Amino acid sequence: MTTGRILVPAFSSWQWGLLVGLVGLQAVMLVRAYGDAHAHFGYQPFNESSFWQARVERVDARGRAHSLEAGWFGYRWDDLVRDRVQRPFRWRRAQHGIRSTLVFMREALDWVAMHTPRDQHTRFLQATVTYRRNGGEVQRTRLQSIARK
Amino acid sequence: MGKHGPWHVLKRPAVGAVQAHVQGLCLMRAGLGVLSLWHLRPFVERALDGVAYGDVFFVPWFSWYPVLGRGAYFGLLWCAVACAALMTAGLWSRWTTWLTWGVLTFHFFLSETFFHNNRHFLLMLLLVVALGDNGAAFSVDAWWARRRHRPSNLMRAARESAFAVAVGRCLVVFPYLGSGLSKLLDPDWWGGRVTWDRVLHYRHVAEAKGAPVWVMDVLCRADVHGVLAKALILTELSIPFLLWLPRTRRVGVAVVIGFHLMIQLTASVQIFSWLGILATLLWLPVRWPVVRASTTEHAHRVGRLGSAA
Repeated sequence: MTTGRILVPAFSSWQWGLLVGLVGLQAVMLVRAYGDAHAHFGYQPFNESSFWQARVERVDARGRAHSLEAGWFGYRWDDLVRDRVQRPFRWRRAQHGIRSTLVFMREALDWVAMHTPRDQHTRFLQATVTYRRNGGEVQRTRLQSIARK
Repeated sequence: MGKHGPWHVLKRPAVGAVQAHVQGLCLMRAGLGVLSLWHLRPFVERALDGVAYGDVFFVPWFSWYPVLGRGAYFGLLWCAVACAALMTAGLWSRWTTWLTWGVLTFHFFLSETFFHNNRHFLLMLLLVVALGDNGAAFSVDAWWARRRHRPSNLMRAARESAFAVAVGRCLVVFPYLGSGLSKLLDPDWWGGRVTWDRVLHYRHVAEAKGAPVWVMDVLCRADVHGVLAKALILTELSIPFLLWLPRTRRVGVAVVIGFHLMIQLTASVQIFSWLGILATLLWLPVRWPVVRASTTEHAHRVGRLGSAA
């Protein structure tokens, strides 16, 4: 008896359910990604040719802005932020699109503001992000962290 | 499985047809183990420097998700490395594959900053391989079973792997659909503006690596990209259909391999290209030379990989 005539058992109910569920879930994520700044689970790589850089500063109680590029109070931005918005001071490509970069930069400002206890003088952090999407006009936006206590 | 229509994979294929895919699944297991280790490399490098994910900027996916301390995080990483290594070797294959998938998935969801499309693809393929009997061949398990005169049961492996192959074929087309569709709907991509701008920015890098100047002169033309971008998008969107239709399946596999090799040469995509190439094992049967394609229910030796008992 050859195995060519022996059929595998039909999929069980849970197998069908799992198959349909996985395919359905991925399809939903694919559609949902169009409304997500990060396009999570939407398989949208290389969607843009966007480049950006940021002037990241800390603002003290007197309202004076100090650049973080050379470090501050023993901290360095690139030591604290190692993914997504690391090395912001030089012109670089937005790996996952400029919308995602701006969202992560905003979140990074908040995180750094809350995780630098040696800094007793800064009221908040801000970043002036200059970017260019798909070779278009240069645009600029300012992001601000939450106020530090 | 290779000769039937596109929906046949969801019906009940012949065991003999599936057996040829069991070996492919086992090869995928080994390949995914290696790629899992490669995926863990940057995290392990940071861990060796004493840096845990909580020491630097991270964004929790969910407020209820556990935030690991340094010790727990380092333990998780080394557990992942161990599971991936065992999975590669094929020792306790099914358990270690499930564990690798589970640990990497848990690690993935520790921070949104860990998200990359290639990591998502890796987790998807790990799940697919875990669903089947991925230790029946090319594994320490299979070798040990032969040493104990209890060779791998390819018949049973085929029965258990038919579902995995079906799931895999349904899921692996999504990267091409998602990527192609998003580019199709973007006027900048369709018009070639994205690829043109990218080439302009990295021209100096390409020329430093030896790309001829005349080639770069051609590739820096906007009208060339107007055609090139459309070709890329349509190629990407055609891949699912080429793979699913039996008559074009071999062409589809060739297109996939060429497509991913081209991407690997021209862009930094971590392990994505290797995952895409590895996934082609789901589509074409692997007929290892020492194994006869057909076996019977009774004790016949099948080359050096054991018999179907």
